[in-house]
Amino acid sequence: MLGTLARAATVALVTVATALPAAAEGDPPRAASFLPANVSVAIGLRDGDRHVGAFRALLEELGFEKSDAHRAFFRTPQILGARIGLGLLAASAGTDEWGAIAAAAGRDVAIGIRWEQRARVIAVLVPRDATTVELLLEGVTRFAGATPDGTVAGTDDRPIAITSVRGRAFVATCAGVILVATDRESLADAIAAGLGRAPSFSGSAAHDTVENTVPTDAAAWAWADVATLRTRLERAGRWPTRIPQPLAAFIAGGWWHHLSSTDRVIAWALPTAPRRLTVEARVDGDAMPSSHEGFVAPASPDWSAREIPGYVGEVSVTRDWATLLSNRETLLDRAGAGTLAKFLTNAGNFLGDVDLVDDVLPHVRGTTRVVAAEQTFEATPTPALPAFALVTPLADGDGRLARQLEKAAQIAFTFINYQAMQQKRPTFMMDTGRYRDHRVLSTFFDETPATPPIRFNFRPAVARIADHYVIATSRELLEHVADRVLDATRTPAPSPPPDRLAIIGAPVARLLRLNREQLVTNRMLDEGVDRRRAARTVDGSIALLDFLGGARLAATTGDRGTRLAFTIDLTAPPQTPTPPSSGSAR
Amino acid sequence: MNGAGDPLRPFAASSATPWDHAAATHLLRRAGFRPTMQEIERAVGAGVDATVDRLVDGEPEARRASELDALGDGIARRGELDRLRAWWLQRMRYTTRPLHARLALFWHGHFATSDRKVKSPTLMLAQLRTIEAHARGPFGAMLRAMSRDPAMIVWLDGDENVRGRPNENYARELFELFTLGVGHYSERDVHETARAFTGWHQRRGTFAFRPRSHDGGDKTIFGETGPFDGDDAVRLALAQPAASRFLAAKLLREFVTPTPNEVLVTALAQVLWESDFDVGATLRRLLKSTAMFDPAHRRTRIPSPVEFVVGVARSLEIRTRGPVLARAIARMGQRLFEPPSVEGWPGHRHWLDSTTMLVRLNAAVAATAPGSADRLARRYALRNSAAARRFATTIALDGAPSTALAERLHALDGTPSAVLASALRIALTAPEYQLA
Repeated sequence: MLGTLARAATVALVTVATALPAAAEGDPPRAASFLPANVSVAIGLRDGDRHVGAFRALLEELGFEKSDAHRAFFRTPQILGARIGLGLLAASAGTDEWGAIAAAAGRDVAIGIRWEQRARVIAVLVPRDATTVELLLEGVTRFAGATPDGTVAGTDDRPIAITSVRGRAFVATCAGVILVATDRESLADAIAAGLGRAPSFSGSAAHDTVENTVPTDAAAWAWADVATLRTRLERAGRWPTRIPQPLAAFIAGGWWHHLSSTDRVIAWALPTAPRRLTVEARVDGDAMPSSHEGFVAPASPDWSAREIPGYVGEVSVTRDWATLLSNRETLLDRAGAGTLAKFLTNAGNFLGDVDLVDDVLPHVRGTTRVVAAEQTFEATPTPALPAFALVTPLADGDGRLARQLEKAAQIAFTFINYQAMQQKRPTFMMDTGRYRDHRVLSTFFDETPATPPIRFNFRPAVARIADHYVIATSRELLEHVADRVLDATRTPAPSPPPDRLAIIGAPVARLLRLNREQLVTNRMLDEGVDRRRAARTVDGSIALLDFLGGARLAATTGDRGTRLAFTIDLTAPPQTPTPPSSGSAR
Repeated sequence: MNGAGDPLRPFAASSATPWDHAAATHLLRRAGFRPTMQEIERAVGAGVDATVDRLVDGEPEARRASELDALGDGIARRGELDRLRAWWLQRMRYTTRPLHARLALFWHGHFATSDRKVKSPTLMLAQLRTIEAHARGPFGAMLRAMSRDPAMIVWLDGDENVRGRPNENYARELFELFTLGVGHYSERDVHETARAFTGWHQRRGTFAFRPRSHDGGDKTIFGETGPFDGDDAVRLALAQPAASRFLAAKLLREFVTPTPNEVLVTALAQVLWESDFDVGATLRRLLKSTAMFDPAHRRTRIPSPVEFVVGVARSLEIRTRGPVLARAIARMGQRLFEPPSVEGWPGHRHWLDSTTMLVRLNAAVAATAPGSADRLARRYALRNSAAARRFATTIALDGAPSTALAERLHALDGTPSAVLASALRIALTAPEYQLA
């Protein structure tokens, strides 16, 4: 992908050097006006040069160039070679490498893709600094091997020259706009659209929708003709009508319904804060059929997991599980239904005379969450994992279900112990106690070896906390969750989006550092690289996570559409890694 | 015996059997894995004696292999058997001591112990370490060490071998599979030897002798009577004439020919006997011998999957992904640390059937995909098609392709790296390449 973009950028620069006309007077043309109306995908970048400048300033502010991540990924021989080439080129144009990138990003960029026998790509660049671009191109043309490839009709009978780069890319300039295409015909179509001789994307209803939907301060936008793409994939048998895997089907089935019935998807990117980028997407589809009603459910009032010590992240989904499970034959294919049937049979073995679908799930209403947090150990297992807690609302007034679920948990632990004994592995001890006046069933190992294996990450505990049922892999996380749930019961927060995913970079980086040696080992064995190279990649990846303040995905599924918002926050990494602050393991 | 009829007399190059690229490749392949062109050139220049001495004594280990070696304990401690296989294979791929690696593999099959019963990668790794430590030394010392090896004790039920209720599993395999072979011991020898090993247990992965479980009474083994223990049983087994012949035949099948004749077995047994079963000294003599380079013995042996895959990777100087290697080798019928039975892998013709042959061919095709030989062509400065063809036939076909293959190779045209990749693909999928 990067190679393709680099080639496209090079070709664009070549074109301007060979045929850059004087800057047009008045308002510059819109890049989207050069995309033919029949593109299947259109992407726009607004004021790219300014965003490049802001991005460069942000990297300096965060100290990225002094990080292990920079050392690992941007000081490889290949990258250094490319940077030297770019630096020399930029110097010849009187700028630096960032200046060259900004000039190439231009004032307005549009990219269109048409799918016919193969993907045909058209890129349109409206430069802001035409002089710098022209100087840059003088250098590029010496290396690119571009050759003239005839002309197409321009304005006032003045032909527009086309340049071919080894037959793989075709470039031209028209009214101060640089055009690049992967085939000559697409380039001619783009010129015709730009000159008003053929329908243009900017004159289409699709573009009107983009204009009306995308905020004016968005840095980039994308539009896809999903109906056409879907038809092609359906013909190729690559668009499943149902998601085969049961869990994935119950999580994504609503989104899939909208994606399967919509004619378009629109997305845009907004730098909503100095260190934050938000990408939003909108999928409008047909109304949910009755079989899918379980996907549209109100979220539970929020209790914040963010304050849990060592919080790593969470996944939250809001479903009417009872309705979904009752429609499983419609929502799943035969194989998926079979897999689910096996799961329900196994669950039945533990639940006894209580039926999961008929007796338990009708009482599970609201948002089910899986929270992850760091844990501390007497002796750190290898690998060290975070603790997880599954927290689900459970309307269980008299506590009958909770008692039944505790019995099921005891049977499950006994079963696990039976298997462990067969394998001569340590077994769980079970204990019941109370936490903040709530009964808790917890487990522990009676002896911890000096170098514990992976199973020592898991010492499950279960409890009914207020109107929630909690299954955690450590008692201390269960207690932290209990604190948050009980405190929120007193002062409930506003309802959040129904479906969420969040992850925080710093604790993940700490966990990876704990497992660094194993990660290096795995890379050496899996990739066949030496220790130095393996360590550089692992350390670089961990250092990259230090810059991730957080990443969040929120999804709201309504009757006729799905809204997605992905937010990423960057942060300056801590000077030294800090240990987790949660309590000790039991 | 060191006369003209001695098959173990030192190899002397002649016009009929010159010391050339083909001979050097044969030696390196049999006493290690398929070699790189650089290794072949080096061997040709150094001569037989120096090359064999270097193989037997070993060179300083490559940094890469040493780095890998240090990872084993951590992998085993985490109980990751699949990754332990990948680890061992990567060590074989990058070691500068290929004969030592081959010997470890050979003894792993000889003392076949499976994690399916041991259920402890840590113990399996400890056994491999023991094997590696004794692989070229006196066989008696290795037997004594293996008799105390915790994985072996678990594998052959040593913990159940107690005074008054001897468990004969280890004693039986000691004679049948490790030292003598069927027909050279009696049931009484087995029973009495089991008594000698009573109390040789393991506790938490460490050898533990339990005096209270040991039967200290007199035993009669091979006609000798005394209060023997396990070490005595090993000594008595190796004193049997059949022991040197048993081991000689096995070494010959591994390194010289799958069908050694009586003269050859007798000669090598004599070497073993006279060296007090010193494996390194015996191999040094064998690898320098006329028998080793006998044209009748060349390309007669079907390499194991591990030899095949590691050999391809080493000779083509491919960067390998350990788990991918391990999976391919398992599909070819060899799962390290999990031999199929106490007898190990049957080997030779048993390695090939319609399924495993297809897997080998697929691996060969994958290793020679378009673009795969670019680095090799650059490294050896192959400037034209002829040089690329010559290179491929030297490292893959001992420089002597069949007429049909030669015609196919001659028809190749294109850039040197493209011709090299195509030539290697033709060579690696040829029937002659499947024989080492």
